[in-house]
Amino acid sequence: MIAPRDSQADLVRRARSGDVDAFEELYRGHVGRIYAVSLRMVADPALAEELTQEAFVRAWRKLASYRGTSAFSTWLHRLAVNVVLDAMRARRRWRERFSDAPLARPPAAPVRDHPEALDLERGIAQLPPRARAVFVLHEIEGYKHREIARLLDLSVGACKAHLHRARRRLREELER
Amino acid sequence: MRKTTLWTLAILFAAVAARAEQSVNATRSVAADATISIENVVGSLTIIGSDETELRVTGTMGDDVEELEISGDADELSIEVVIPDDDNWQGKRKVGADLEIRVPRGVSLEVESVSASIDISGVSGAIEAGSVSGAVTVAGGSSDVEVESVSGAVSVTGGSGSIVAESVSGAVVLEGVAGDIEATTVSGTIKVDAGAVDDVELESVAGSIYFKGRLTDGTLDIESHSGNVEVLLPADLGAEFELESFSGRIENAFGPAARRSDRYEPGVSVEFSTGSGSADVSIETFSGNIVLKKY
Amino acid sequence: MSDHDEVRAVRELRAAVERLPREVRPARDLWPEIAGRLDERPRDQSAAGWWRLAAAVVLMAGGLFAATNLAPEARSPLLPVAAVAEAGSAMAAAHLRQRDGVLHAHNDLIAVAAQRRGRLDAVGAAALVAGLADLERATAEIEAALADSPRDRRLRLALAAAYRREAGWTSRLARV
Repeated sequence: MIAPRDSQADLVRRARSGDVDAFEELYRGHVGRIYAVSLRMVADPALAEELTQEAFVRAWRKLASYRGTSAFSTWLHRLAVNVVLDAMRARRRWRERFSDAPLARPPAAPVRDHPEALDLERGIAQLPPRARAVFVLHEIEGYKHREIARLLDLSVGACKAHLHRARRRLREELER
Repeated sequence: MRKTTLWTLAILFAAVAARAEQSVNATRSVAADATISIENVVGSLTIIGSDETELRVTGTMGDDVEELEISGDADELSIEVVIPDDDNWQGKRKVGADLEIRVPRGVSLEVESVSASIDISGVSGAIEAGSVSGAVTVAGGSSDVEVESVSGAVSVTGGSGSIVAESVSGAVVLEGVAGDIEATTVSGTIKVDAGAVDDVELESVAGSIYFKGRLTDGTLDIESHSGNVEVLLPADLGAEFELESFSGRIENAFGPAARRSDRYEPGVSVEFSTGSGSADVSIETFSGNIVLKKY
Repeated sequence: MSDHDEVRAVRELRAAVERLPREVRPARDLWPEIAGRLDERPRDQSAAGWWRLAAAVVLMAGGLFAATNLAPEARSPLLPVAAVAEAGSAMAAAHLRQRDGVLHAHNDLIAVAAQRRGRLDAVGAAALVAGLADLERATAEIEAALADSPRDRRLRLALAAAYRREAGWTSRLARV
């Protein structure tokens, strides 16, 4: 879905100069990735939609500071993860308190092809928030431990411990 | 003149009635795993888990109490000491209610108070108890326990579920606890004397922190701003350690001495591992001292 | 579980993760709401940055202090503009965002506390006031240390954590 690089750079250039149509095209091309990471990290479709919107709004405002040194998709992705983490931090207490119950339904991800993917999505959604964030960032999004530790304000050891626990729980989930 | 006498009598009677303490004795049948919520603003609450199959409330209520409202059904029961709202709460001295509530052992509890103390024992279901200035004490729980207070002390004794304890200025004391522990305070002290623990997170701003417990492969994460931290861990613990303080002193019985983190910046830190290193220990302070000991 | 099973389980989990869809479309089109929020052209942060930063700090002065009096008045900023300038723009901007969160949380608390003053007893109210003061003092100490050593990564992390802590406590205390 992501546009080829040339036209991508062109879209970014146009968006930077205030072209909303160009930005919409960037949105259309990237919303799937951004929503996917948000959804998996917060395990709440409505909140994930809100954060996706926030990420794009912030991206628009910050486009001027995007220097083109990394791919636009990478830049946008990092920005979105930061938006999600900010929100998770702010909500952590509240969520722990008020929505500790396991989600009744798994997030609405398309999993038609592989039935076990549904279990996996559900398992991810039911992980404790920090373990979930570490798992999604490390295993799905390919972040390094050190990077995750910095983002989540954890020690690298604690980060690994979270990942270890998340894997263990997910394996149990898949074997069930 | 008869009318006047009657009025006088009526007023006298009313005055006596108003001053009298009301005694309470009520029972309700509840499910063995019912959820029971209890609210009492002032006074005290003693909640005792027992082998009985019904719930019994006994005690006394002051004249400021409008009624004891018990509502809901056998699965979800709510008990509320109703005190009419008035504008000058701080002006008048409230008496509230002193209640003892016996419940089937397996129920879950949600208990709230403002200044009433809360004392819970022998209840094995999940417990959530919060007070503003009253002390909260939970003994012998075996499921998840969550206690919080603003200025009152909170204490949990025994228990193997996850424990979350919070206070602003009251002391947090957890004894004989196991499993996952999370304790947070601003200026209160935290004292944890635990058995086998899995994940432990202790955080304070100005209060000191003491932890002793058997950590095997979980994480111990302690953060304090200015409070001193003292930690006692089994001598044979295999763990990765990370100790760090900006301006406090670090005393470390497990590994190498802490060094300046950076040639140009203040602060000391030390990272090392012992044994197989399957546990994680991280202790951080800003100005508090860190003392790590073996036991 | 034997080592062999363990290895196999890890491999299966990894394979399952790899089959997860990289893109997930939100259930509704988020663009109209995003477009509604793109009220202005992307701004060049490097140019106007400091003025806005300074303005934000001044605005913040309108925010925080009298949480200690449980009255809806202002708290003075803990971080002087000079210290913000010292600390470098990206970091300062990040801090301001967090400060913003704290400011909102404090204001919420002040509003709630003022509303419910009658329900808090004197001892609890005093503890709350003292607690907020301790939180502020801790934050101020870290800010002061950071002003001396602006490049200390650990202090930056500590400051970020202090802001989050303040925000967390404030929102929790608002529930009292």
